[in-house]
Amino acid sequence: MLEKEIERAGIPAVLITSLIPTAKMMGANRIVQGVGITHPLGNPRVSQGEEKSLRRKILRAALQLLTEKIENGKVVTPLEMETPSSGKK
Amino acid sequence: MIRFIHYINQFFGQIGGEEKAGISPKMIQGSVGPGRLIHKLIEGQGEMIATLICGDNYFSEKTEDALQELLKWIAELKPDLLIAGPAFNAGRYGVACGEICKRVREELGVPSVTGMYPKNPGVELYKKHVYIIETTQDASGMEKAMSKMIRLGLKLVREEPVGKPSEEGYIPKGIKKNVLSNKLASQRAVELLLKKLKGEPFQTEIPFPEVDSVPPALPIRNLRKAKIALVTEGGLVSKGNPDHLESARATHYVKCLIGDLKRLSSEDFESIHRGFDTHFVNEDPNRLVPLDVLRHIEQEGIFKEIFPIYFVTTGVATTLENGRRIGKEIAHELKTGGVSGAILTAT
Amino acid sequence: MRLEIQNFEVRDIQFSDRTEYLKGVLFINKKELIDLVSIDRRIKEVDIQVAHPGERIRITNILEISEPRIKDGNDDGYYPGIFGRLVKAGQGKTNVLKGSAVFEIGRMPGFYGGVADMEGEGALWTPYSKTHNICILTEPIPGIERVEYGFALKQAGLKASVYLAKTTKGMIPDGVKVFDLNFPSKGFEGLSKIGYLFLLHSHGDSREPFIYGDNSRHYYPTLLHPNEILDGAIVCGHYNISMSIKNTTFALLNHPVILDLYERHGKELNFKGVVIAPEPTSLSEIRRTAMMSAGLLKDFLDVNGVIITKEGGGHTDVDLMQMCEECEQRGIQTVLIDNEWLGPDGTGDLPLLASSQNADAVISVGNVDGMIDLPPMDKVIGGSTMFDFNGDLQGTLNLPIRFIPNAISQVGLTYLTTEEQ
Repeated sequence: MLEKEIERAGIPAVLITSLIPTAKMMGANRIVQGVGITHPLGNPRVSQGEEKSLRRKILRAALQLLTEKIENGKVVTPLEMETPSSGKK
Repeated sequence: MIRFIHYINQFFGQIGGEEKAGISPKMIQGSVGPGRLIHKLIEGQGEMIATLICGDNYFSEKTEDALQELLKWIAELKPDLLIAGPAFNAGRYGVACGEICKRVREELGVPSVTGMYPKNPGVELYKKHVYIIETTQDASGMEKAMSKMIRLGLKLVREEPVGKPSEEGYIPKGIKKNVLSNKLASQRAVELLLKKLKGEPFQTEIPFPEVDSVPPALPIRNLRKAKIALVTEGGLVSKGNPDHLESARATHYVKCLIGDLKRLSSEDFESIHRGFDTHFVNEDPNRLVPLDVLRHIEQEGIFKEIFPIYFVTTGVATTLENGRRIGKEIAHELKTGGVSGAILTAT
Repeated sequence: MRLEIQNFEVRDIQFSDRTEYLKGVLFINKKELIDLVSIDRRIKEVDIQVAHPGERIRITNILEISEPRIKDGNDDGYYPGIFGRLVKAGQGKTNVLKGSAVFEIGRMPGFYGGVADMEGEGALWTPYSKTHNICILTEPIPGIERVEYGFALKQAGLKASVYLAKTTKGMIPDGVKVFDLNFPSKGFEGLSKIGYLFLLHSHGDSREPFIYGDNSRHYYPTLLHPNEILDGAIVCGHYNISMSIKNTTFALLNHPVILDLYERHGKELNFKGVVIAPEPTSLSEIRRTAMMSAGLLKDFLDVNGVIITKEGGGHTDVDLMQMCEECEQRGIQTVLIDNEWLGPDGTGDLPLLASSQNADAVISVGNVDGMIDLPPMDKVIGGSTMFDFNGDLQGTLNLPIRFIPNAISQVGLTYLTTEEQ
């Protein structure tokens, strides 16, 4: 929603969220897959160091997407192979 | 006797075709053109007091001038009902009919009805505000359309309950009301499944959404020189929520100063969003607004600077009007601030 | 598994010096029940009040609703694993004080209470205007953690439910309903095989139901016998979420989809069973859960069609749609039930927060943002203010429908739906 309005004004905007289907349905153009609903750029199950590392991966992917010319909606999943936690404690 | 006024364009007003589309508003006593049909159909119940004619181009180019005159006349004539058109598939005419119907109702309290072909651009613009009877593409459907328009109009005047779109013949307003069905939802669900399994025709109660997309903005050309702003829908505010951001369905956004801050600390920031379990984000706000790592990346020179303010709101996915407005306002701030690109985070 | 629900009709409730059930009237010794509930040191200021259908009473700060029930026979408990001892629910005889409900009432910042009117316009939208409601009012002790107060409320409500239902032990019921998937044992050929997929919210403490006493987030998709759900295996544990997007224990015990499928079992369809699944908080887990749920439905229950319901807010529309896609891709036809998000004036463009080309059969349980006008009431039970609402609750109200218990019901226990204007 916000992403679209910012793009409409001519500023490239990238949305980081775990729920890609919703972002796509809302018509967001630049989407990076986040980790989880309750921690889009974090993972309470791993060490602080690992968290910062995944945060960096996501942010680098986001910045990269801002520099790309895109036609329709594009989704990037920088953490594809990693299994996030759901905070099961 | 119910007092009718009819609004039509230069063509139906028998003044001329396209070449006369620039004529200014005129008021004629009684009925003209298709108004005579109204006169016939309302015999005994109502009377046609006046016909208002305006050129489609005049209305389109000088809308407020046209309305000023037209509304003045209508106020003086004190009708019970305004019938506009029907406009069939004529675009400018449809918009004019929609606008005048909306304004007489809003400003003078006069009920109004018009008619259009579903693809008339006036439909999308006015269906929420005005009753638009569905018509054929051209004037061959004049009589049918007119009788439905009058039938509905009389109900509005008499303040009788208006039936469903399919009953009354108007284009659905795109407004959905909460109503009580005569069957439990669970029962409707099981019966729907049985129909589907038997291969019988069935109808869903929630249609597929129409995605409204925006052409992507041009990308950042030189990231090294770029100013990047952070925006979040996760309700992360300064502790204590001094700007009173709503915990859901926000009607506004808040600005949080980050200046040169290296990271967001859990002592100074919290999420007040009620739509998700906030304790992970409250433990470490950088899990939602990633200032700590973004600051490192900035210091490495990958991009020039982080905008000293981040923008916060909550859960606007479920209130589109507010979401659009908030988005536009934030976009304006970003533009004014010379921001090259924005990173948004959502739960 | 064979379950016999024995219904004892409640026509009236009165306070008395003995708690007993006599000829349709439930008598309650108020002090005894208050003392029983007050044993829990986590709560104070316990009070019991009763509201009857037709009275001009507004009940506020409603956090949960359950039904007075107890196993007949030797077992003295109910709600296994959370209140009663752990036994398998769904078999034997269960006594129900039908026509009554137990309300857990309390206030805590972050807990979202409901409002129910027993008469007038508001009464039309909630089924609890037709039940005699025993309200258990409590307050949290100072400094208590939110989740602890939630546990205390739960114990209070369930304790009261069982205490009251005990009055029916050994008596002859007004009616008996038998639930047994093995009957009729013949004649299933040619009937569609139908299952029910029940998604349960699992987004954290105070936002989850308890299944045999454990938080839903600790579960993987699994098979449950429908009788277990009708007999107290799942209990509502949500306090941190509004009335409209959680299932009360009362709704679970009277689960309308399960009851409906049972009604038609052996006649119009073959009710094969139920799969329950959590709603995880990341997309990859949601996908995995969907894959496993569809697998249970297809490879173990072998169904042709499934009804899917979800629990929760907009996030879980994603779960619902993923489940729909997985099932349809495995050849199972789906019908979904969901509420809509259309804004207060009903003009929103996007009814749901996720979509799928396979979701071609969706039942609407109403616009959760819709507003409703309620007339003033003569009396308020539960307090005239709520944290989630600005203003005094006794007078005329213009209230979002999400406050009214079971007006919106994600399991379909409602007549509410939307109609296009």
